[in-house]
Formats: sequence, C-alpha cells, structure tokens
Amino acid sequence: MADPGLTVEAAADTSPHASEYSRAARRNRFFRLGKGLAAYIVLAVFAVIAIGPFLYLLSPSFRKSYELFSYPPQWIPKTFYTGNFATILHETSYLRWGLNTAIFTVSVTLITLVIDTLAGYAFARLRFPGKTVLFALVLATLMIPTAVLIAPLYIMISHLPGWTHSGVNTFPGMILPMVASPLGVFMMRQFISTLPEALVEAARLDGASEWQIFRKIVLPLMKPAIVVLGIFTFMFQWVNFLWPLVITTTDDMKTLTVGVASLQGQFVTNWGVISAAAVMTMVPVIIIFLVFQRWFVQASMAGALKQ
Amino acid sequence: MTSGTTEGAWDELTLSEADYRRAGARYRQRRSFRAYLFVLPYFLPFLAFLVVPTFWSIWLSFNQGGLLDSAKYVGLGNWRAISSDTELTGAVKNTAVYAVEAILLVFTLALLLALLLNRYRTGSNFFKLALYIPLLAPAVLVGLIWQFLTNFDFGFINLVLQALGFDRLNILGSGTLALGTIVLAEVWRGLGFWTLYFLASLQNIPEELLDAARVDGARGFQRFRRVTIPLLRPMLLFAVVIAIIANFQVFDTVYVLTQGGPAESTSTLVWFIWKRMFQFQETGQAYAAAVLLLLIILGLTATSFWLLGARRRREA
Amino acid sequence: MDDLGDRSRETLPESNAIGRRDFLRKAAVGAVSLPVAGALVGSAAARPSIRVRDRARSQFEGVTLQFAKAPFGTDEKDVIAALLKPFEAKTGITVRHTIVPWNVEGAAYATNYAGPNPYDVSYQTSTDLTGLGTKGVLEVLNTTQWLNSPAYLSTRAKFIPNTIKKSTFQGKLYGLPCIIGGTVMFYNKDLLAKAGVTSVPTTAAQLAVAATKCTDSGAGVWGFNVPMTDKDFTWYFHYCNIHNRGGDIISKDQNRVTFATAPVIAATQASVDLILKQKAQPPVGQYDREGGVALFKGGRLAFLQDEPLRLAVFRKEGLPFKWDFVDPVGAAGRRTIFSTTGHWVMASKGANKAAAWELTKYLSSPAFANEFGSHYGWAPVRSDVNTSKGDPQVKRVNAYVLKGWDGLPTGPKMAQLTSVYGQAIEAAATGSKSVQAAMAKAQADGTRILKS
Repeated sequence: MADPGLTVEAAADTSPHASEYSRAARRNRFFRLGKGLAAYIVLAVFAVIAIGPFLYLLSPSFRKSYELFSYPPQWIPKTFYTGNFATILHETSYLRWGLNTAIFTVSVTLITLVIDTLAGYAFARLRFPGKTVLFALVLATLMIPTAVLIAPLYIMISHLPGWTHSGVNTFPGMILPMVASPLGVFMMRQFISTLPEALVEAARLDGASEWQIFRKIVLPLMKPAIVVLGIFTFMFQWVNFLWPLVITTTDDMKTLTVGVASLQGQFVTNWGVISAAAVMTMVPVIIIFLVFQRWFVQASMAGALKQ
Repeated sequence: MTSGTTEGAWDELTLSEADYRRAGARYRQRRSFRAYLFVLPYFLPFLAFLVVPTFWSIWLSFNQGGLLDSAKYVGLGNWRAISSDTELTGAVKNTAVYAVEAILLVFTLALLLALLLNRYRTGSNFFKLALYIPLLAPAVLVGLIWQFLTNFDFGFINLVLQALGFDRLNILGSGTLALGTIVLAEVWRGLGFWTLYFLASLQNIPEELLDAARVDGARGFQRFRRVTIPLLRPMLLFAVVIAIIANFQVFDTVYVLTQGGPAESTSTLVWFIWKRMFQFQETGQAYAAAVLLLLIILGLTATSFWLLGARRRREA
Repeated sequence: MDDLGDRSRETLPESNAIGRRDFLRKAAVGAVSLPVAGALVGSAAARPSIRVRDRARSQFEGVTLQFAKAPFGTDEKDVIAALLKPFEAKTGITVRHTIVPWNVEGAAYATNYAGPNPYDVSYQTSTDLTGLGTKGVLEVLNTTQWLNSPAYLSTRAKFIPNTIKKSTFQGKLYGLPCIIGGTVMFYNKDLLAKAGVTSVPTTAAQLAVAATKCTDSGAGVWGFNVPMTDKDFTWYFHYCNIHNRGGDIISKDQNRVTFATAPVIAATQASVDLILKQKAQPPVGQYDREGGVALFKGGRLAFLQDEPLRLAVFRKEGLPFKWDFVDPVGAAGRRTIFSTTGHWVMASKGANKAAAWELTKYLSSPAFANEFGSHYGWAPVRSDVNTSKGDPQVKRVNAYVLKGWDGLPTGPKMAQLTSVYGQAIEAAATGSKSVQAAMAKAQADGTRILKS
C-alpha cells in the first residue's frame, strides 16, 4: 500500500504549495503515530486486566492463610513461605492429576478436531438427504446444559461391560462422551462456508475425489479455524469440572480441577494451599502454550498472508 | 461417470429415460454415501452421548425420580410445581439480565481489540497470549480470584475506591453488584476467546475490498460499517448464537462465587436446576426447568437466525 | 465473496509448510507419548502392593470396598489411611478411600448411587440421609441382619439413644450415627478486656450488649459473627436459637412447616438486629464464613460462633491473643446445642454388604472413632468412644454437646426446608425483607414443598 506521506513529499518539491504539503505530511505522520500509541495503550490496559488478577493470587500462595486478614491489609508478604507448594506436591497426587488431565484434554481435542472438521465440511459443502434435519439436531443439543446430561451419561457409562475397558474410572469412559461437541461442528461449518465455492467446484470438475478435495484444498485453508477450535476445546476440557468429577471415583484418576477442589476441607479452607494449587494448575498449560506458540503465530500469519 | 471417449459420449444420448434416472440415482447414492462417511465419525458419539441423554432428560422431566429409583410418571406435575416457584421466575430474570449485559460487553470489547490487533500486528502475539490466559483458569480459580478482588478488606476494587476517597463497597452483599461481578468475571474470562474469534473472522475478509473502499474515499468507520460488518455476518451469526447459548447456561462462576446469593439475586437457571437436582433430589423439577431452558434458548436462537441469517440474496 | 475465487490461495510460502510439519511432529509425539506415558504410569499405580501378613484367613480375604467421604480437613486422606491399616490387616479387605469435595457431594453421590457400582460405604449428613434412603439406594440398618443382630446388641446399647432416634424416619434407619457436631462461641479475651466487657454473655440480650461494646472499641473491629448466608449453612447456626425459644421449623409429625410461628420469628429477629440495628455484626456479604473465621484469627472479632472443629485449627496455628470458648448463648431460659449428625451408610446395591458392615462397625468402634473424633473435634455418639484423650478443652466441648444436644429431625424434605429457612434468614439479614415477610414466604414455600 503506497504511503501517502511519501507521495506528498515527492510532489512537495516542485509544487507551488510545497510548504502546505510538508505541513500536511507531518500532521499525517503525527496522527498515525498518535493513533498507534493510543491503540497500544488500550491493548496494554487489557493485557494487564487479563493477567493482573493471577499475579494477585501469587501473594496468598506464599503465605500461611491466616495472615491474609490482618488490618490494614498487607499485600506483599513479609516472608516467603513455600510450605504451601510443598504441601501440594507431597501430600496430594498432584502430578498424577496433571497427567490425567493432560491425557484427557489432549485426546478429546485431537479427536474433536478430526471429526468436527470432517462433519463440518460435509454440512457446508456436500449434499445429502437429511442434511438440514441433522444439522438442526446438532444445534439443538447445544442448548442443553451439561449439568443436566451428566447423570444420564454416568448411568450409561457405568453400565458398559468390562471388556470394553470404557467404564467408570477409565480414560476411554472419560474421553468419549466429551468428544461430540456440537459447537465444533457448527464453527467448522461456518468457516468452511466462507470459503469460495468456485475452488471446490473447479476441483470437482477436474475429477478430484471428495477426500482429495478435503485434504488438499479445504484443510490447508482451514488453519485459523482449526487453531481456534483446538484452543477452545483444549481450554474447555482443561477446566472441565463436572464430568471428570462424577466419572472418577478413585483418587488416582482425578483431573486437576477435581483434585484441587478436594483440597478444600469442610472447615479448614487453607487459602494458602488453595491459591498455590490454583497457581500450579495454570503452569502446565502456560508451558504448553509457550511451546506451541510458534505454530499459533504461523497459523495466524497464514491467514494474513493469503491477503 | 462418463467413459470419456467420443463414442461413449454419443452413446449416452441414446440412454432411455429410465436408464438415465437410474444412473442419476446411482450417482446421488454414491455422493450421499461419501457424505455420510464424512459425518459418521461425528454422529456415532453424538447419537450415543448427546442425543440419547437429551431425550432421556426430556422424558425424565415428566416423571419424578428415575435416576436413583424407578421413575413415576406425573405428566405436567413438575411443570406446575416449578411455575409457582418464585426462585425460578427470579432465575429467569437474573439470567436474562446477565446475558444481555455480558454479551454486549464482551462483543464490544472483543471487536475493538480484534480490530486493533488486526491493524497493529507488531507485538500482537504477546497481547494475544495475555488475553488467552484467563481462558485457562478453572472455575475454582476464577472464583478465588474474584473473591479476592471483591473482598471488603483487601480486595483490589475496594483498595482503589479507598485510594480515590470513596467508601468501600460490600460487593458480594448487594444484589446488583453481585450480578455485576458475575458479568465482569465471565467477560474477563471469555474476552480472549472472542477476540481471537473476531480476529480470525476479520482476517478472513479480503484486504482488496477494504483497499477498494479506501481508494473510493470511504473513511474508517464507513469502511467498517459498509464493508466489514456485512462480510462478517455469517461469523457474527455464529457468535451471537453461541454467546446466547453459553451465557444462558452460566453456572461455574455463580457456583464458586455466590451460590445464588445474596438472597437469590444471582440465582441463574442452571444454578436452579443444579440445586433442585443435586441438593434437593428433585430430579423431575430439575429436568422440567432444563427443558424450559432449552425452549428459551431455542426461541432466542431462532430469532437470531431470522434476524442475522440468510439475507445473502439482498447483499449479492 | 464467491467471485473472488480467482485469487490463488493454494501456494503457501515455504516457512508455513515447515511450520506445519514441525507442529505435526510435535503433536504426533505428544499425542502418542502422553497416552503411552499415562498407560505406563497407570499400570504402575495399579500394581497391588505386596504385604506379608500372618493372621488367620478371614472370610473377606481379597474383597475390595469403595469408601467415600467429604473431608473434614486437608490431611484426612492420611489420617484415614493410617487408621484403616489395622482393619485391613485383620480382615484382608482392601479399602479404597476417595475424597468427595463438600461443595459437590450432592452431585457426586446422586450420580454414583444411580450407577451399578456405588460406593460401598460413605458418609452422609442427616440432611441428605433420608433423601437418599427413601429412594432405596441405602441399606436399611436397623434390621436383625445388621444393627439389631444379637451379636451387636451390646454395642448397640452404647449408642446415645437420641442420636438413633433422631436419625430414624418412619421406622427405618438408613445410616449409623457416627459424630455429633455442635456449635460453640469462641471469644477473644484481649478484645473483651479492652472493651470493658467483664463477664462472658450467657443470654442473647447480654450478647447484644457485649458485642456492641466491642464493636465500638476499635477501628475495623466487630463484636460478633455467625454465618449468615444459605451457602454457609446459616440455618444450622440459627436452629438452636429457635429451640431455645421452644419452637421448630417443622411440626412433630412432619406434616406442617412452622416458619411463621413466634419462636422462629423471634429467633431470626434477634439475629438480624445484631446486624441491622445494633450494627455489632458485619453486613451480609462482607465476610463469608471463612472470612469471619479469618477475622477472628486476625484479632478483629470479639465473638465467633462456629463449629468446634475450629478448636483444632486454632490450637495448631496458634492465635496471637488470649482466647477461649463457651457454648452459645441461650434465650427464654434455655440453652441447647443443635447440630446434625453424621452417618456411615451402606449402599443397598453393594457387592459385598457383609464386608461393608464389617467396615461400618469398625468405623464406629473406639479403635477408629477415638482418634478420628479427637483429631477433628467431634463429640462421640457412643458411650465407649472417648475423643478427648484427656484434653480438657475437648472434654469441655463434648460436655457441652452431650449435655444439651438436640438434633435435626431427619426426613426426605429436610434438605429443602433448611435451605428455605436459610434463604429467609439471608433475605431478612440483607434488609431486603422484614423478618415477618421473609418467614411468611418461607411458610408458603415450605408448605408447597411438603405437598409435592
């Protein structure tokens, strides 16, 4: 995109209105700088709002809980007490819970991405009888709160025969019911329907099979959508509480959210321990995040580059 | 399907009408079969783990019990019971107020941030990362954070108010403020997702259209209104529908922060369902309320589709 | 959008292709290694530990029981594991203990008991006991097979009769009482001295005066606190006030609710006045139950009404001031302690109920209950269980509780009715309703609930 400032200056030397032009160029640059600064300030404010509260939590995790309510309130702890973190690592199955959560979340995300993209493509671009009815059914199930389905799901899973290895307290039993996300299908369908039909039609005319069209043409273009859905599913399942709670009855199968909740005793809410546990819950995800960050960047760039 | 040789092509023209129809039917069958293969991997778990429990739940709303013990059919009895329950009418009102506030707020902020991030790309990854972080927080953590933020003695909000010379606020003790806290907590949590979503949608819009508009003399806001918004329409429809569905089901934050209090002013529909089902063992009433929630969301979604949906013909 | 299809989107720059491969590699590694690691760890964890025992083979050799309980403290897993070792060694039963968080125990138990493999033994409070029991998922215990068997009769005689009586509903006992809680009032001696309060209050009127004096004595100091929201079980702490005035929230035959009666209204009014009139108690919402306890620990609260469990915590952490406790103030000449009871319950669909009964008996016995009760400050329900271990403070708590104990009548709707009462207290205490109006609404709601 041509920079208006440059063209103005180029014309400035020869035009009788030279001084006005250079003044306009300077004003233009100043405005753009100003707008840029304002934009970054706004972004910074929101970044602080997003991260700040977590830093807030760091303080209680380094104190013994009864110090919290002294008056006047002191936010910076006088001494750093690492006992809370030690308590969590030694007295609870924290690491096991973390592993369970990782297995659960990653599996659900991967399976969901695969089947949702396939189904989304079918709904968006393929024709088959019953398409509208099925899609309406998918949408309708979105509107049922999960809390309501938990009990029937548990009864179903708990009655599965042992040879399927998918009962209560098993990974398949935990993972499979979470895999059919109507949200994912809906999102994929919307994204795919924004892709130009001409591309797909051209490939069809050239004799490509549906599978080839899907793999070679549609899938590469879906990257931003897949990233979004993947992130969303991952986050949602990481913090999923109700389902892992009822489907795991033994301590060694619990996920992090359930495990941390069980740290709240009936009367002794050790806020120091709870804060520390909460902080530690976030750490693995942030690490995974930073590891895959490069790929997120490139996926977004793919979206930008196609312009 | 055609053989491709010239003789074959001429032969086809002499197919009888019945043969032609049969060939067409075979093609459509093959095509549908392939399409069904695409949707099958999704539909198997979908039917087993979503459809069956949903119909089961609807059936349960016409019975008493049925989970722990055998079901006793009571027809519309549960519906009559909950319609006279003031907590339910309160819950519907609270949920509606909450949803409107939360959706308006989060969409406005997310669109703004997405526009900024789209325009100013340097360092945008850091901001994106920062905004994602609240998404990672489990409900327990969100509750803890906002309990601390709204705490009367050392909560950040009250510290700021004191510094500015105002009186401290008993935030979780006042009905409107407590509901407002729920709104803020959920907006704070969801902002990252919606920003990312709108950003991806904005990046879907071809730059040439905006350039063309700019060259034609359209200013920033005009470009936004005339070019960006109409092209965002299918994405916006999805966003609105999903936002309505998600926000009417708000539960986690209510559960960890206020448990419906104070004095039921933050009692939402799913909270009502939860209490009935798991604290009072009134499964019939809980499922009846769940079906009511389903109907409400269905109605709102249909309205959204009608308002924001297929107007393509007018645009093209 | 369709006519823009001529723009080629199929050529992606090299860097993107590398990025994709890189990610796919990482994802593949992760997706394969995580489940594999999980399987390895899982199978390692599941390997049974080999224990060498020399004892007579019991008939329950090799049986595994599932035992679930909401925790009284953060160390409960270890405490219970240690206390169960002798039982496991003697009977050969393996007990798998699961912690069920308090805030979701309703959901966890409701789903678990609906399945085919429920917890064999679990802990239920008297509010939930009959709700689950009348649905048929809990084993009725007052039969000749279990509690009333000839072999157990002598032990049965040691139970405090009132506990069994209050836990029986329509002739059926769904759980074996195991603990009584109670309420006590902790007080900060230093603050009382500073405010010029010379004697510890014994009546509600005296408390109002003392609390007001303490509130005026310093900045950020409050006189009295008791949980006031339904989510903090405020009904539990207000019930004894009703009893002291000779009333109840439900009639003896459990056919009528009695919210709109004088004792209930008077009891609630006295409590609400502390907040709204005397301003000796913080407004609702400023400090929840844990906040109130923390206020006390921080030396800013003169009188704290809470459960005796706090005793253990205060002693372990040490408070920076002189403190003590008494039983809660009385009214109209009466001073009772009120609480719910905890019960050990057995699943009616359990695979091995005989083994479950062995565990239940053991949990109730002094071998388990002495240590368990004293560790968490519970008063015993059996005369042969001694939870004080000579400790004078615990002895005092137990004496209070057993002297004037009154328990919640159990019934399938009690969970709902107590919540209705809690909501009414909350509404009145926030000032959004008058006490009369709140109780009138509670009466209407309660009547509707009983009818349904």
